[in-house]
Amino acid sequence: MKLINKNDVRILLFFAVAYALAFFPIFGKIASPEWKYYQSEFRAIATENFDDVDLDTIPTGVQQIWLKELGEVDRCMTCHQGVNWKGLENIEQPWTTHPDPELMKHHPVDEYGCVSCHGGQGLAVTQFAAHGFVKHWEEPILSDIIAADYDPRTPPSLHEINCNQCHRHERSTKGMDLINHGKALVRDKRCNVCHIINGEGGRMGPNLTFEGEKSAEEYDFTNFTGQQLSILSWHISHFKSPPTLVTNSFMPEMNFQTRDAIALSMLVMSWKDNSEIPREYIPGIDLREVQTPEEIEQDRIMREGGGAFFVEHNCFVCHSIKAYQLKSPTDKGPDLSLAPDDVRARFSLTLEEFIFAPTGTMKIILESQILLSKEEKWEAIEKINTAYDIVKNREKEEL
Amino acid sequence: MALLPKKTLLDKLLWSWKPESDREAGHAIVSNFLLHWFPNRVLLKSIAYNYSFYLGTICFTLFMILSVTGAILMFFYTPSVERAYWSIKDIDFVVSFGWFLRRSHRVSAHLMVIAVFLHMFRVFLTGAYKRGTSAGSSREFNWILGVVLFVLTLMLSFTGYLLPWDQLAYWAITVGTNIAASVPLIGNQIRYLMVGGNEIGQNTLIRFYVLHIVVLPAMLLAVSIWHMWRIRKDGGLAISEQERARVKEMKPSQPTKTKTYSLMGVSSGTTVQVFDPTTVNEEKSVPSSPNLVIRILLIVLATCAVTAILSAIFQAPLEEAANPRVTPNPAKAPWYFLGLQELVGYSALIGGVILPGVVVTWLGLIPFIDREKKDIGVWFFRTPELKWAIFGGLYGLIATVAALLLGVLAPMRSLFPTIESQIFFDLVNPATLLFVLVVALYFIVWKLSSSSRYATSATFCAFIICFILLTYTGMALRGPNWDFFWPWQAWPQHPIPF
Repeated sequence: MKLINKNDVRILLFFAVAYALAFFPIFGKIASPEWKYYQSEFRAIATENFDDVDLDTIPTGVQQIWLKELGEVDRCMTCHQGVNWKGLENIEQPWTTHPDPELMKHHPVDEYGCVSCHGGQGLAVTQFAAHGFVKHWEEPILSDIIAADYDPRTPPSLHEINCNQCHRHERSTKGMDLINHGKALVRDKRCNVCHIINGEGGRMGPNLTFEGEKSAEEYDFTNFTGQQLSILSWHISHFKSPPTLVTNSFMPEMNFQTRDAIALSMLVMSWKDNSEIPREYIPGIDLREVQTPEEIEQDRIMREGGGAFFVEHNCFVCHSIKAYQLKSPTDKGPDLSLAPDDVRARFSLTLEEFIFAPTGTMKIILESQILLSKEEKWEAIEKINTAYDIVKNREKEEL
Repeated sequence: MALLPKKTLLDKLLWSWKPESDREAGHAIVSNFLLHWFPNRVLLKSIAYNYSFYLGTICFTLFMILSVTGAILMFFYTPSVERAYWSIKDIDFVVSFGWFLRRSHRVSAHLMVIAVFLHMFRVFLTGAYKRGTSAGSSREFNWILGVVLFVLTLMLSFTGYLLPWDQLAYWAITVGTNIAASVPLIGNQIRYLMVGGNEIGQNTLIRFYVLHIVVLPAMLLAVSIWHMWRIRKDGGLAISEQERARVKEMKPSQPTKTKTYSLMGVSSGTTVQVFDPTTVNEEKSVPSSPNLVIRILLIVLATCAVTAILSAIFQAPLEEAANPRVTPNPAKAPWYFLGLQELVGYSALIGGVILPGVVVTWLGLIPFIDREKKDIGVWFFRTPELKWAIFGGLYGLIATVAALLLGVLAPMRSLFPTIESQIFFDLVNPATLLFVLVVALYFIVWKLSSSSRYATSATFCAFIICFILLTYTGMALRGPNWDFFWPWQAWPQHPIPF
């Protein structure tokens, strides 16, 4: 009698071989990771470029920087071994020296890591995963590759978003041109009249202090028509034309150029909750920008000057009133100092008639967005007439 | 202890022991567990691949792979809300063989759920849950143990699902525990107990972790050992019942003089007269060793090989870190619960509580509903049962498609816009319709065939088809907002930060 079925032995051997073969790619993948190639190339580059290099000092294996206080682990230098070397400026990635040695003086890799400025997935040790161009990693490396999607000719330096997480409390920071431009626009356009920014400001619009914390799911893309379905392009479109994206939006169109819109979008995206970042990483002592004396005076005039009524009721969003030194951020409408002449010329109405029975844009505004009581309307008429007199008197004096 | 010679410590450690008498040899053999794991001889029919497909062996092998890979993973995983996700990232990126261990663990977990389902289908479709004729046979009890193992397997998989603490895990558990909350009266208490509070957080994670690594595996191991022991006590695989019936009709052969190993050692006497078909009918059986042993080995090896190959090919997914503020759209439960989630879409009470409760109870009661003693251990397609099984399958197909069409084309809330009562919609919805239709099937077939076996078989086949169709719908045809999408329709694109 046969002891063992021959067929069973054959199947057994087949699976034994299959099992063994399965381990070839598995061991292969573990024995020769991507970074081994980059490390051996780096040694070749080092010997080629320097005469006195001691290869024993070049580390091997996975390299990591553990920033305990930032809760961050970066393994980028496993492949990017030349970052801190001098003299490899002309070598290609990933072996090159960091292009900005001045910056690196203030931000040594040992204290700041790489991801905190560049983005990416510092934990990973393969190229695509580490650069964050993989599904389910929402902070890709903010290099020109991504920036070119937003402006192919002059890709914006998107990594400034990350820089500004620490630098948000500074008025302007060396090397952060776009964010600086954004900050200037925010001051110029007086965004804090309507929005709470850095914990202070008006309540007409949403609080923007932690706008950068919002995830993509929290934005309404219903009316969005752009190419890139992303938060950044949502903000860019929104800055260019708020009502297009958010129906019934109150926010005025300010005719921003693409560059302005990108700068502002980057700025609002950088407004993250940085309370987890240790204090010593954050420059700027106050939790808000320091105002210049002119700005403080301007704020006082707006709050307490003759035009305070128009600030309180948001008329100034569109209208300047030069008699009261009130400057509109948008100047969408005519100066209210000359309103009595204006309504007569355009509508053949007196100011009283127009305020109580407006037409055109003002009809919509006064019926839906700025609701004034009868007394308030009389107050407005009186104040506009006073402004008119002031301007006319000034003109006479000048003559 | 004159029976055994004195052993030195080294002898004991190395087991270098030689019997010095026939009695001692007999004693050694009788008391050796490994030699009695399998019966002495097995029927060729029992060890045929195409009878059992060795699905039980596969399940247990997968459980062993899971235990080994899981135990190693425990060295690297931290069950804390802050660290869990990042420790998985480290396992994937820098732990030696970490990605392979995690993939193997995940692949074998999914395979185990599939294998357990298939094992149950096989046992049902061969009528192997029926009591045999050998003394002490109680296959219906072993079937209940099987249903317990089935539930334990699902619970193990479900608890393991939370541990990576990514969006997938967090929201699958949110969906799962919210379904539990729809139990009438005590739903919120059940959810509170599962979650360890009102919110899914550290308490939930540690609860699921302890259940996953200690409580459930220990229970599963104990019950599966019991399950396997019962197979021997029940007289082997059910297919042996046919041979046993034949042996009972045979005339016993003339007793001959022989030496046998008994509990007391080797004794002389005459051959034992038994009903055991393997002993009586030697040309239909073979010695377990090596014939069964090599097949078990082969199945274990094949399972390991398939798991390793699949692990080398398929990545284990890890989504974004869990974020209670952002609900992924759609949020889906693990795949084997997606059939239920589809029904939960119609009514959380019916789909999430009543139906799974009824189905598990019904599965456990199958041997008591169907007590007919025909065709034990015979594949259904070799018996007249075939036409009823086909009828049940087709009926299940039509009923499920009808219920799905009703659910997709005419949602109840739009059919009855004036009614606001939740109880009404819990009672009137496609899930209830499907349930009623399948119950009706049992009675229709019972009436037509006057056989509880045929009625149960038709219902079981309808259940298999329902399960597969609903799972497929939940898995592939439901997109954002749980809207219906055909396989060729693209889902809306998902926005990203940059």
